[in-house]
Amino acid sequence: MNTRGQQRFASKGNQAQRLIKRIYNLSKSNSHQPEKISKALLSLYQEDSRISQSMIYTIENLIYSKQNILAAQSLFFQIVKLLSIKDEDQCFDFIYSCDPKAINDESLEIAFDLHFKNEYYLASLILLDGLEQNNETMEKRKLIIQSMKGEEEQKVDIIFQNQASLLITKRINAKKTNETKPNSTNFLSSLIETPFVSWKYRDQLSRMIRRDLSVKYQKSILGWVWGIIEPLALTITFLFLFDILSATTSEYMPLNIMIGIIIWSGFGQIMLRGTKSLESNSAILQRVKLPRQIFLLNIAGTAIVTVSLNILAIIPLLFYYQIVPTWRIILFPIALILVAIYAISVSLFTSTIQTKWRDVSHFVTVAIRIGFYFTPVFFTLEMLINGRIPPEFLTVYLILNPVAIYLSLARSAFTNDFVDIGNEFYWISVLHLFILYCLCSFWFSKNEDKAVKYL
Amino acid sequence: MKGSKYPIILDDVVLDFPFHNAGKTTIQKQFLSLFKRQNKKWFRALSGIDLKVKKGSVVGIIGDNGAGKSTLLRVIGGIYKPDRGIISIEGNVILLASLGLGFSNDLPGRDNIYLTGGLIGMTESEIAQKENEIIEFSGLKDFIDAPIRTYSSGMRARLGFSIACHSQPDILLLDEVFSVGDYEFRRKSKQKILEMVEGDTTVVVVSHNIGTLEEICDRIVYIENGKILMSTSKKYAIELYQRR
Repeated sequence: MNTRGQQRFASKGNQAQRLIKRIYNLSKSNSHQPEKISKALLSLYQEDSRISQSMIYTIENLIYSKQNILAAQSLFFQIVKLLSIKDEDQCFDFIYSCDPKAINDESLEIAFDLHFKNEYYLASLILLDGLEQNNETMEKRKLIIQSMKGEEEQKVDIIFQNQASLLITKRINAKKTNETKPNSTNFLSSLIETPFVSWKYRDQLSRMIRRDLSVKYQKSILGWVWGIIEPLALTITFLFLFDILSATTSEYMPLNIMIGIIIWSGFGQIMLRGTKSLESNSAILQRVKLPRQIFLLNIAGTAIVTVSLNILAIIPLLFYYQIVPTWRIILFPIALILVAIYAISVSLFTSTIQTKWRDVSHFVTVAIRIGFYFTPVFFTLEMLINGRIPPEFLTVYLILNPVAIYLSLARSAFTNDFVDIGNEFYWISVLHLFILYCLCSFWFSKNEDKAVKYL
Repeated sequence: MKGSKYPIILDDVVLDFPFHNAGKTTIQKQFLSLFKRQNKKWFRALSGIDLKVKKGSVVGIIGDNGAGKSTLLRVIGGIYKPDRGIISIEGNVILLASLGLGFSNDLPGRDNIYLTGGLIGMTESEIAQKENEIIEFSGLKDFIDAPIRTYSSGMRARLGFSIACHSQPDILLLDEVFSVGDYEFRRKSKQKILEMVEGDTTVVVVSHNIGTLEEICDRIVYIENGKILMSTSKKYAIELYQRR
């Protein structure tokens, strides 16, 4: 069975937990020690009388992760023996809830006796059919039929009849067919999943993006202008700061800051809203069968469109500097897409954890705030290179922070000068992105089903 | 696809859920649980469900609160993947829960028809073709251009049901849909369901309203503690359910 099921013990208290673990270890070991197991079971029962749930999980672990059906069967027998003396209701519950593979002829006999004792005659007849037919069973059958005749009004045991017949058919089926394994996630198919989803659902995505854009500024007077006001205000602030600190500035400083801030705000949006994408769409996710990436892709698409609209705000600056865009302008969309893929990859990872621990979004908020200062957003990469940073650190920095490189790539689309960091770093940044994307996609497809359960 | 007799087959389906003990967890406990893996608690929402539903039949699911009815519907609808067992669903499935299909609150009803219609698998032209029909059936003519957040729960359910029906699903899963609508809408939707069943749609209904189930179902599945206690003809199951 799946690996996460390996240690699923529902239990109460440490002592009970220890006992469950002990029972599990005793059962899975090859040296057969039924006395020790029954002793441990008895003390577990004294510790916590509702043992059926935790024992069901233990038996399943034996069957599915240890592939040890014989051990499971003998443990099952021990438990049924104990419960049939101590707590009959729980015993019935246990027999019908547990995996039918664990029930052998010995346990079935106990189950039969228990039903017979409680006058569930029809159900016990069905259980008797599951046993091997011999003289003993023939006699038992006669006994049942005699007792059935003896009573005027029979006890209603329709539910037990149903359960018993289900159990017997399942047991027969389990003997016939081999275990089919749940389809595990394929690494390669998880990689193409996200692009595939964005292609297949392109109509829906475009509609969702249009909705987001129209809802965003629905009740505001300035509307779309707000998208420009924010980077403008921040740019002016940082220009002032640079003036006061009299730090080194380059020629195109306002332009560079503005491009940096606009792209970074898009990046931050994908990260923040993307991390919450599963959580905040729980209503739809619990009702409609959808690929779970779709909300993240919607957020990313909205952010990309917003950035491409906001970037129009630099047109006056282009006129001011008398920059004529060349073919290099194509670098801007490339850089933007690379940044978006980076943010999507990280969000694929964080969104699945966010459903279980809501702390993740707070952490992401802090990380983005810090990342803002550690990435050349309101300064340029050149300033870092020409600054007081030793070259070894710079190499590590450039390997670890591909976004810094993408930002300078986006800037060079307009300002026409490449930052001299060496070509290999461009390739390293793409490689970094690729590895990150692979890992995060695999994580997502492996954990999405579990994450949805926490919604 | 059209040929097979059982569009819904579940074989020994098991689903475990994590315990939501929100509020009880402290940082200390969380920290300790990193080291003690067996501290994780799971409970069994569905244990060994076997179910076969015939094409073009209406199956009702009854059971107490928390017995696993809605979870079962979600497993059939493909929202939760079972931890174990085999599940085979043929055709497109639509799950309709009591509060609509997960609408976008700030948008008017008409835009939501397009949005949700697209999400449940209709194409743009299909929706445009059926738009008037959907609005007509939902009975929301005067409110269709008002934002969804102003709708009452009954109105949401009506719109949701209307969209779901007109997308012509092969399998329709209804989770307590009839409890919110008014009498007239209930009558209309029951009729619509029977109409759809004629056209070979398979329907699974969860409801506490036994009268409704008696009216429309062919067969009833009685669930308790995540197990199917019985799945028989409706009269027998309802009698048993009421007696217990």
